[in-house]
Amino acid sequence: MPSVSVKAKKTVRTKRRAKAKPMTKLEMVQKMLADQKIIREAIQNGIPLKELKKTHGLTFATLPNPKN
Amino acid sequence: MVLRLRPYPIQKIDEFTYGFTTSKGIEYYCSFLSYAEYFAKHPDIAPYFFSFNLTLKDRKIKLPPGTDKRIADTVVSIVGDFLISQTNAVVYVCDNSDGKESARARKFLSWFNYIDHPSSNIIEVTSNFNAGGMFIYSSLLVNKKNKRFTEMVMAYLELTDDDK
Repeated sequence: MPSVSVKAKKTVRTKRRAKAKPMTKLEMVQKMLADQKIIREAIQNGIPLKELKKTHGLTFATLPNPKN
Repeated sequence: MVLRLRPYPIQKIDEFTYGFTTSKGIEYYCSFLSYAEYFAKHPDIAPYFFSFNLTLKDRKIKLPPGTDKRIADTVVSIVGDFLISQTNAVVYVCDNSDGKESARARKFLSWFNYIDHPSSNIIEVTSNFNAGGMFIYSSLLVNKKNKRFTEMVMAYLELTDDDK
């Protein structure tokens, strides 16, 4: 009987990520207030808000020119 | 209340920030932070929720006594124009780091009682709530012509429902 070589199936190992737990109300409020503090400190230290996207993952609304 | 708004000139500092300077030389910056992450259960409307942030540019500055009515006018103009798109909603959560959150909440709520500005189309929903023993003052501002108005209000009330 001819020998048949069976190639091992290529498998890609993937890291299992823990499913994100929903935030409790307290965690949510703490994050809201912590983000306010991050924004306040950035402004008072002359850091542009776009930097906060990179450093803290904060996203801001893009603003049109003011009407005045 | 019928009042004529006299906002300070608003400058665009960068794509995410407005600024204005009061007659006393006090500089404020404003921005709208995305709150989409808190409305994950409502993916259709989540991207349209923002928080409003008003920050003193110089933390060391001493604020003069009395009320500068034009600061309120300026904030109303900025938030009113932001909501004029009729798609966005603004959630205001009062900072409680200095123990002045109730005064801050009262002041913010009083700012939106105008009828001679696009902000007259803004509906304000207040929902103060308890989170793990912390009492939080919050409000939702949404344009009454917003097509997702009811969904947005319901989502906000669900978010700010008291801890059971």
